Amino acid sequence: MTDRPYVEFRDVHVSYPGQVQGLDGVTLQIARGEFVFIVGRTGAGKSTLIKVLTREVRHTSGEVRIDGQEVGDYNDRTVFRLRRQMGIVPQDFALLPNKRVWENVAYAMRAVGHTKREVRREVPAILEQVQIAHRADALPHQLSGGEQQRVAIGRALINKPPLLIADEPTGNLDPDHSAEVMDLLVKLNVEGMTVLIASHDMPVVERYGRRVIRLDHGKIVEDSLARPD
Amino acid sequence: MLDRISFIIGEAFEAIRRNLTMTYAAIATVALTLFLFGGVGYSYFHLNKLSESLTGKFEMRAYMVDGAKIPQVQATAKAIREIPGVAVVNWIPKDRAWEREKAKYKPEVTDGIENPLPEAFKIILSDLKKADSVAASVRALPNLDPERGVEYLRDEQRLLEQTRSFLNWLATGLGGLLLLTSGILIYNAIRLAVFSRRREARVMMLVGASRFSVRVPYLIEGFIYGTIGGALATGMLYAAQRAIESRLLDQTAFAGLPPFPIWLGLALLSSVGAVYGLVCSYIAILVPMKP
Ligand SMILES: Nc1ncnc2c1ncn2[C@@H]1O[C@H](COP(=O)(O)OP(=O)(O)OP(=O)(O)O)[C@@H](O)[C@H]1O
Ligand SMILES: [Mg+2]
Repeated sequence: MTDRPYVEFRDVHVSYPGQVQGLDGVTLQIARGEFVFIVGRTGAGKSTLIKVLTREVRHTSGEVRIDGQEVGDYNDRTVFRLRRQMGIVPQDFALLPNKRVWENVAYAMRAVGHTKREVRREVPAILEQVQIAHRADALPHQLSGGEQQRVAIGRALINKPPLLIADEPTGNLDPDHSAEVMDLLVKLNVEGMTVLIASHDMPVVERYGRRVIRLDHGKIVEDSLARPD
Repeated sequence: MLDRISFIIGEAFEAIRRNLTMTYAAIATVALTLFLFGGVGYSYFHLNKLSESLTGKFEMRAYMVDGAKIPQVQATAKAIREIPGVAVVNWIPKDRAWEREKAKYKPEVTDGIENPLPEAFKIILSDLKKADSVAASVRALPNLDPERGVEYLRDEQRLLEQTRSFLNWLATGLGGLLLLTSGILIYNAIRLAVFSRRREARVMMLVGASRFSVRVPYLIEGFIYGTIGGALATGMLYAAQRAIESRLLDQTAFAGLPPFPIWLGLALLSSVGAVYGLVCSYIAILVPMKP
């Protein structure tokens, strides 16, 4: 492992149309294997920070690097290479409602070019990993929110990415299900994955005692180091 | 690789299956458009053959000025023979013509009248379409009667020309309209497919599928619409020809048209349809969707 930060923002600005500042000079570094919460009030810029990393949003100025590679250098045709290095768990899960749990994962694998044989081999392992194998044949609407979230996380693992990014993974969940999902994310982090979570669920954030980056009006106002478990 | 292709084609058919109404509308209008264009093209082809076969029957007459001398007649005949589109030139001497004319009437009628006929030529055309230009060239020659000049049967020719210009009009007017309509319908079908697959496209984007594998299914969809439309148009043309033929055979001693070139038609119309479908669907995926 090198000393180079895994994720690095340097004076990053994002201005949305109409003079809205999504990010206003964000500088941060995240090392490999860290578990980081991005917190802040609504509209603080959490989602914007995540979308800059996934290149759904282009930063207006500054540098954004993942593993040394400038994110802004990808164009619409090549950005899929960036996305294969990260698992993205969107806030709304983005599950396909007419496909069963295992089909949701299988479809994603087929879409990135895995063969049917690879799908047959790997989908059960992934479902096992996110503890949803017992519901493999259920349709998304037959699952609880926490279960749906786990399917979405499972789908984010198909490229075996070193980085997992989740926007409000416990946003719609009751405390029990939140804990379920958070435990899973911690487990993935322990297994070696760098995890980045946007959240305004402060009880959850505090309970896990990890590094917390607080945003306000697009600026970092606090960066607490991780408290040892 | 095969796995890849089967996934992408599966996606295309899934999109088609989801919007069967649009699929039907798109294919039907493409078929109608290509039927019209194919039909007009095919009729054109037949008209040309027909006008070539009629040529032998087309002749015109040219009349010289009164008192033309033999050397002038010879020079004029030679000049006419050199005009493009002229097959045969026969001199009709005025004396012989007058003999024939007189034979039609009682001697009292024509007796004592001096031969009023001019020297004349019978011109047979090799190419009906050149009739007007031949007439103009002949008229321009010296020693031709400025008033009677050239006479020819224009009726059949005019009919052919009218048919041809009607076909032209049909092809450009109605055909253009249909072409536009079918293009819009393919475009809409693809847009609808893009819309109905937005969830899948989002998932694909999230997990890092290439833009190519997100888009190719739409191109395949357009391609399929065009190809099936072209194939249907060929079938319709074949049926139309059979129907017309049996009508004509019933009513006249018509020898029958040459057999419809079904494989050539299929190849031609399906590939034209395929290219058109591809173009329309390509435009449809290039235009950004409103959020
Ligand atoms: N597409 C957009 N166009 C214009 N302004 C935007 C856009 N997306 C976000 N913004 C604005 O940028 C700012 C930051 O938004 P962002 O979504 O990053 O906040 P957030 O911290 O994720 O909030 P929440 O907790 O509500 O999800 C807000 O003021 C928001 O209104
Ligand atoms: Mg947000």
